[in-house]
Amino acid sequence: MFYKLVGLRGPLALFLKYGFLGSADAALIWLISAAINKSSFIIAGVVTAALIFLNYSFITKGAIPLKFLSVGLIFFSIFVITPTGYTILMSTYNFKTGNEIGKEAALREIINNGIVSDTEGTAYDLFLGKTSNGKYAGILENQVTRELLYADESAVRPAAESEISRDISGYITSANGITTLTDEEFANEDAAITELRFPLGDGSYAAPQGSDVAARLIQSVVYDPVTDQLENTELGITYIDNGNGNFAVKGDPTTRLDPGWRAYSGFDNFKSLFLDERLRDPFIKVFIWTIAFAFLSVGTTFAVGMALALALETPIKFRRFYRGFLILPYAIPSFMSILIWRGLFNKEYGAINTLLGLDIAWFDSPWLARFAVILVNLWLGFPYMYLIGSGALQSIPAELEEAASIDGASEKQVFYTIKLPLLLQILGPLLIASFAFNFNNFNIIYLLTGGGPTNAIDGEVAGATDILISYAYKTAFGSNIQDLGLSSAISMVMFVIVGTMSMYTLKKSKIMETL
Amino acid sequence: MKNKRTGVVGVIAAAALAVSVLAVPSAFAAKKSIIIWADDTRGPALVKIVKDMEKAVPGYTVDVKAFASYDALGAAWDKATAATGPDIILRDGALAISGAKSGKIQSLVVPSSTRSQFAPAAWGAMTVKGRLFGIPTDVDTTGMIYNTAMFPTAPKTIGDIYDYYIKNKATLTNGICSFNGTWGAQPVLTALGGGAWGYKNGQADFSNVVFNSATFKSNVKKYLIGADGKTNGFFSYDGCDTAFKAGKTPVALVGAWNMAGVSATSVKFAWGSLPSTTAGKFGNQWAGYSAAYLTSYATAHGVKSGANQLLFKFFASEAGQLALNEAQKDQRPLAHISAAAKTKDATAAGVGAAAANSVKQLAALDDNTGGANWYSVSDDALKDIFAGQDVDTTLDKGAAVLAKNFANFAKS
Repeated sequence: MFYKLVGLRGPLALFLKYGFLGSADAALIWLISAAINKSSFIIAGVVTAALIFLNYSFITKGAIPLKFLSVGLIFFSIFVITPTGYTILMSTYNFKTGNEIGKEAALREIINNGIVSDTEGTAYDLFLGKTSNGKYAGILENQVTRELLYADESAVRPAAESEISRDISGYITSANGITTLTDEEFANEDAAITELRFPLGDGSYAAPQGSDVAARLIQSVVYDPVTDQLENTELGITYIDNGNGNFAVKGDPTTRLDPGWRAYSGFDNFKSLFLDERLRDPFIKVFIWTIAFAFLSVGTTFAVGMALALALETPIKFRRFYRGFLILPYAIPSFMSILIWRGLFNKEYGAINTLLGLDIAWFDSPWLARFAVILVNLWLGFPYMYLIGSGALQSIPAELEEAASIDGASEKQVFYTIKLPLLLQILGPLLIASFAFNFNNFNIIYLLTGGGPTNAIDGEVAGATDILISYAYKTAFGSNIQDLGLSSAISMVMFVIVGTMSMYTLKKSKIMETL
Repeated sequence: MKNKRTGVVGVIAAAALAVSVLAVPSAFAAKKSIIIWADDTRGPALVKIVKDMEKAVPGYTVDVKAFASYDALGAAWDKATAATGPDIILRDGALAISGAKSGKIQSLVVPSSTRSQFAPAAWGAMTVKGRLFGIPTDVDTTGMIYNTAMFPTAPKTIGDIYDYYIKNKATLTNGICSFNGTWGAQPVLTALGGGAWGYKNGQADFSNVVFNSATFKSNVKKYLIGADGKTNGFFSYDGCDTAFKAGKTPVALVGAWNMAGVSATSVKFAWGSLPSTTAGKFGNQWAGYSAAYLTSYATAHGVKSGANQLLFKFFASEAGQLALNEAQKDQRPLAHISAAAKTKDATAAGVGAAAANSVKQLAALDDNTGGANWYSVSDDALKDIFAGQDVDTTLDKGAAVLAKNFANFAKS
């Protein structure tokens, strides 16, 4: 049908169709392999499904509507459904700094971190090579006592000076029965040399720390795969899987070993959000301000935008100029405007204090900072409301106003009883969208106040102007401890709130019925 | 049917094309290399001295990825995987804590010969739960500079500075100025018996919150508060740098990054450490050590031994640290003791010497769930006290927040 619309048919249309499909397939297959390569199996699965769906809809003859919808549906599933699903999934995991990797990798790091040097920090000069049967062997020379040892992977024995030769600086240049490794051999065998251990007979071992130095080490933490427990042999402490992504001391689940792993935690993140006072109290405070901020932002921008639209509805001199001038704030990138406003509010050098002769620390006081946020958002948002308001006003039939006037209605009555209800009917979906946008208006908070001020002396964590999205960001990325699971839970709560409010308002206003 | 067959052929052709694109790079597999990630200042410097580094690991090539900014490096590191991550990363001391916790960096075994070449505080900054992570490269800290027209020799006690300020108050703006807010004010707080936390045997002791100690309360009232219960102007940590540059403040606490503005003025100054109330003792400033870290990806890449060797033979060596420093536009105070002494830049050398009185900064206490970090607390406390709030009550409130925060940190 599409080909018919653009006047294409026959072999050329077929060639183009399969050419585009083949190119899309190539790109998607490349994406799948790249995702698999990086162990991103969810992404690989989604893209594979998209690939199958795309080919089905374009190769199957009967699926005409799908041909038009498939691309949009694929993008929708990749950029909306998948991230939402992934966020839901992550909100049920203990996923934060210290609990990011898999259990196997965590175990490997714990065991690696359980390798300690002896109390003297014994180090050896190392002459590393291989024996005639290809096994690693070396001469270890204690850096303090200068004692010589011959070592291989099974044992060590004292070595005599006569077994080696040295250069003029005293470095060992050869040893009987050992062929030294070339630099390239050392590099190529790096992984094997990393695992190399020369047992010293007392439970400790010498391990290369480079091509010419070794350290005496002790494996202080050992893992028992049968019991899935770790034991610190030095301290005699047993660590068990605490079921929440960490090995913890038996009997004391709060004393944990790092790193942990990403572990399923059910609804723990949600429980913490509502039951743990350290999280709940700032969350409630932030939640209330978020609602207020979104309502005030929509309310003030709508009021100012509509007032201007009404003012410019009647023909006046320079109307075109005013109209163009009023949308300027909308034309400037918002992040630039916000940063300029931040400068204007600066206590020391800001134009507001300077011009008005004030000495107000705008961003140090919670209420002044909130006022500043609303004011700047009004500046950024009123042109949009003005534009949509102007359009909506023009769509209201003039006859209604005329009829009302003839019936004796005042201008005020005409506005409140005829125009405003109609405007709300027309603009309802846009106001709801504006509310949802402001509910998640991260930029203005982050760039203007950074969520502050925060009253640290009273132990506050969230700032006075933090909204849920900036609070979630702070939780996820705002400090050295990044709690992605918890911030996913906060995001889910936001999703439910915005979704519910939007659905409720849409239903009540019956807007969907007119679509 | 014909169409279907054509489609299948198209899909197969496209798949073959995609597979061949993937196969090409593997045919030209790179030589075994050690990958280093660094920020926009250290990165370009490392690029200049790649040959020096390769001499330390002759069997390998060294590839440096210089990121456009410090934040860009952090963002990339957060997303790094075994497939994409580096073998060595140069980053601040906070990575020792978060990296050890996440398992993205590996602990190191440092021979005593290497240990002796660095100050204990430098190793302390790299130590997490008894394990050492990272080779300290340079130190971000502050030092004291004093106006030599006012103090020809370094003041012996903070009382000397206070007396000078009171005597010349009409012509001075402040007695001591911290160019770097409450972070830079730590020497004043510790010189007066306060600070974020106590120390025991050189180690941070979080069970000992000294923020509301009797000594500190008394000294705050004596040195920082006037008869009206508000600040007496002796100490400022907010926007006071212009006064020092104008010769109206005898003493300033500065970092190397502040010195361009100071050096451009006619004020003659010398370096030192802020004295405490007792002669011969000094306030302690925070030291943030940067370090070269061995990542866990080095093992996955099969270059752990080489990367380890590069860390010890280059980054932990005097020659390596000097080479890296001299390749940078602005030199840094070095962590390696003898390298620090040979630093050519006067500011870097001055700050490096002042680092002797520095203490470990625990960035992990910037905790987002337990409470506020220490400098936010001290910022709010000083603000309230200077505005006339009761000293004892304010310091007690701050101490309570810090104690709660330390307890949470201990559990984390």
